[in-house]
Amino acid sequence: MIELQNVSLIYARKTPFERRAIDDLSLKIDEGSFTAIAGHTGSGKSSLVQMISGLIDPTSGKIFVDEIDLATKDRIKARDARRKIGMVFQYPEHQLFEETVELDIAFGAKNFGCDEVETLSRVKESMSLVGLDFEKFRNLAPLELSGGQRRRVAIAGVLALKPKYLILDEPTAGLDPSARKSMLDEISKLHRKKNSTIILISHSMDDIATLADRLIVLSHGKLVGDGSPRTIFGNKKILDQAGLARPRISQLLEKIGIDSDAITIDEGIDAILKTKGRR
Amino acid sequence: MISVENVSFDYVDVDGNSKSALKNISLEIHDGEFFAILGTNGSGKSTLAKLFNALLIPTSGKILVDGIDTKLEDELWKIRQRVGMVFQNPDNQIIAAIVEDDVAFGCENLGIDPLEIRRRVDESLESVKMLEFKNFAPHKLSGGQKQRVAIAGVLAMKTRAIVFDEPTAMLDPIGRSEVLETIRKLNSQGITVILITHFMEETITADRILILNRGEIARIETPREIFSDATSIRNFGLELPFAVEIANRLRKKIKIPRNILTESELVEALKI
Repeated sequence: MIELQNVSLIYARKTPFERRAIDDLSLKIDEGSFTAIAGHTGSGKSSLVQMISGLIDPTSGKIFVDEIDLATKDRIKARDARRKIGMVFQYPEHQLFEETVELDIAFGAKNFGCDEVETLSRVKESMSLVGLDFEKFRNLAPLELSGGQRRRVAIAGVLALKPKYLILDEPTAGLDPSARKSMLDEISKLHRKKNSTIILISHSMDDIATLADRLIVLSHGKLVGDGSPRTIFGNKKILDQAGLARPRISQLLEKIGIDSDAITIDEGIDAILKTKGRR
Repeated sequence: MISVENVSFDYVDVDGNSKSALKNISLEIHDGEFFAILGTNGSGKSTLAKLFNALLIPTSGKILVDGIDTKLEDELWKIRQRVGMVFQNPDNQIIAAIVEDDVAFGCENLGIDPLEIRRRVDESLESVKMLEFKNFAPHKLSGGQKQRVAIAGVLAMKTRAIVFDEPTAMLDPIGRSEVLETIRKLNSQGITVILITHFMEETITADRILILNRGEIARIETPREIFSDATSIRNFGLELPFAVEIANRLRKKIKIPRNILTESELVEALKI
C-alpha cells in the first residue's frame, strides 16, 4: 500500500514566487487497484506522482510505500521502497538512448543488479507485455520505430524493473488512434492479468470511466474528490470545482434526455436501447 | 492557393538507405478552405506539412503557393509570408521573454514599419483572445494560451494560410477547445486552414479530409463521406468520431438515420 499523510509541496519557498503545488494531502492506494488521477494542468497531478516515486521530497508530511517511510535514513530500505514504484513519464520515448531496443529495455534492470540471464528473461517478458515481438524488434534501433512502438519500448524498460506499483503520466498523449487503443488495452491487461497496481494520470474521462476502479480529483493542489468513477461523475459539485467534464457518453445521454448513471459506451448503448425499446 | 503536383519525398534513414515518405502526391488546396489531414504515425502527414511552406523541398514533383514554386530559394520569404506554420509543442516555438515581443518577431524579420507592427501585434492578440496577456512572460501561460500566442505570431505576418501540425496533441481538454475554437474562427474569417490531427472530432467541420496511408493518398473526401465507411477508416488505423461510432452501434438494434456525423445530429435523432 502507498500512503500519504498530510503531504504538502511548496515550490520556491520563501521567495516572491512561492507556490503551493500540493496542499495537505492524505490518501491511501491499495495493492491491485487501478487509480486514476484527474485535474487541470497545474492542479498538482504530476507533482503528486513525482513525490510518490521519490523524485521530489515533500516540503512537509510523510509518504510510505509498503510501510517504509520514503524519507527514512536507512538508505537501503529507502532504495528498496523506491524501487517498488515504476514511473512512466509523459512522452517517455524521448528518453530512449541505447542503440537497440533490447539494450534500451535492459538498461534499468542491469542497473538494478540483474545478471544476464535474469535481464534477458525480464526483457522478453516486458516486451511481450507491451505487445512487441522479441525476435522482430530486439535488434532494431529505437529511431527506426513508429511513435507508438517507441513509447512501448520505453514502457517495457520500466516494466523490466518489475515495479509493484506502476505510475503512467498520460501514456496515450500524441499517439494516433490505433496506437492509443492498443496502449490502453495493454495497460488494462497488465492490471487484469498481472494484477499490477496502476496509477494513471489522464485527461480523458472516457478512458478513466472504462479503466479505473477509483478516481482521485485534484484542484489547486487539494484533494477535492475521491471515489469510484461513477460516484465522481455523478457529483456535479466536484466536477465543477475541478473544471472537469463527464465522459462523452454521459453528456450525450443527458442531451437526449435519458436519466442514467452510465459512464461507459457499453452502458450508454444499453441505456439508449432500453429507453427506445420501451416506447 | 496551394497546388501539389506529383510530389514525392525521400529521406535517408539511420542505416543510410533511401526511404520514401511520400509517393506521387497530387492535390489542390483552395483559398479559404478548411483542409484536414489524417493518418497514423509515419503516414507522411508532417512531411507533407513541411513541404507546404518550403521547410522541405520535394525530391520530385513540385509545390506551387499562389503559383510560386517552393523550390525557388529567392522566393522563400514570399512563400513563408503566405503560408505560416504552428507546431505541436508550444514550448518549442516561443522565443521571446514577453508575449508581445514573441508575436512581433516574425514581422520584425520581414522589415515591417514599427508602427505597423504595433498595430498588427495588437490585432493578432485580440483575434486569439490573448490581448490582456500581452505583457506576460510566456512560461506563465497554459499550453492552450501558448499555442494561441504562437498562432498570433503567424497571424501578425498576415499569412493567408496556416498549417497546424497537431496543435492540440499536448494540451488538456480546455486548452484543446480554446485552440480549436481559434482555428475555426480564423477560417471563418477567410484564412485557409490545413489541420493535421489525431483527433477525429476536430475534423468533422472541415471542408475536406485527406487520409494519408504509407505516404500515399488514400482518400480525399468530405467528412461525411469519409466517416460513412467505417471499415476503411479502421483499416487506415483511424477511428470514427464519437457520434458516428455510437450511431453505428445503435443502428444494429434500432432505426437510426443514415449519415449521422455530429453529436447534435445524433441527439436530434434520439430526442425523447
